[in-house]
Amino acid sequence: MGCQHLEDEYELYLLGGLTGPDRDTLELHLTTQCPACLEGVREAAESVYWLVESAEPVRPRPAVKSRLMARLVEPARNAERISAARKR
Amino acid sequence: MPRRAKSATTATATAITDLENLLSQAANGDREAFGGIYDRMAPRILGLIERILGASGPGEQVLEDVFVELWNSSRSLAGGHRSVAAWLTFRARAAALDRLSGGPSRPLRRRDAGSRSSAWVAWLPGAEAIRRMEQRRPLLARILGQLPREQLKAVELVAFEGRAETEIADQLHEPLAKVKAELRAAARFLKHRRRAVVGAWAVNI
Repeated sequence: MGCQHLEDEYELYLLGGLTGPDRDTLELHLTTQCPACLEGVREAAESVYWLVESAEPVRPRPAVKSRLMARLVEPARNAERISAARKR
Repeated sequence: MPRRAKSATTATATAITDLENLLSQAANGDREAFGGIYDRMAPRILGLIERILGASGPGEQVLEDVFVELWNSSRSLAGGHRSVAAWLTFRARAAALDRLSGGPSRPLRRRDAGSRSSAWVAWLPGAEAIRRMEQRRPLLARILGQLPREQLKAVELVAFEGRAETEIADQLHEPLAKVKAELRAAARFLKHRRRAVVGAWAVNI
């Protein structure tokens, strides 16, 4: 059997809406490196971005950025911190 | 309360083109560059988070956590061809859905790629593809409104409530086969319309 019936499931799969045998079938098929389906899922990810990103923007309060910037640890220091935490 | 930022749509549409450059600078410790990513993307990302969690939910906390995660991941993400806007969008959705289901947002790990809500990790769109779509953003925004109401409802339950098709059938008291058919028809419609818009400037939506 061909894989054309999977075409309409790519977006659902990426969104987590596909479950059970439908999801298993698609994932198993993707492991065969089917070029059409790999390209289809890649393209579907663009549709999913556009769909999810369609929400109306909301401007955060200025305090959020201040808190965020205060939480940033230099990438190098952060790597050291993670490494130290893993050793503990 | 966070303020609705309708004008931010246009502003960010033209300002996300160099996010990847900014991330490369941030990966070297440039906090100002990272602040630039935040300024351009935060309204969009908070809009998505609040669409999922509601305006009175912990949206700003989730927003903050997602951006901290971007900062901490900047070295591994920078230099690739993946879209920063897409990473933020997909990661924020996953984090908000985690909160919606009652748990704290989980850090993103490679093993998450195999879980139901994290299939996107392996399929993050490229920066160039996102740029092409941003150029057609006003047209794309009109397509969703063209979906039949029942299909749109089902799609929104998947996208913004994290429901699987079996859960949607239960919630809407509809046969599973009907829900499956609606979701697949919606996916087909959106795919074809997006192709038309992204592939041709002159298409009339």
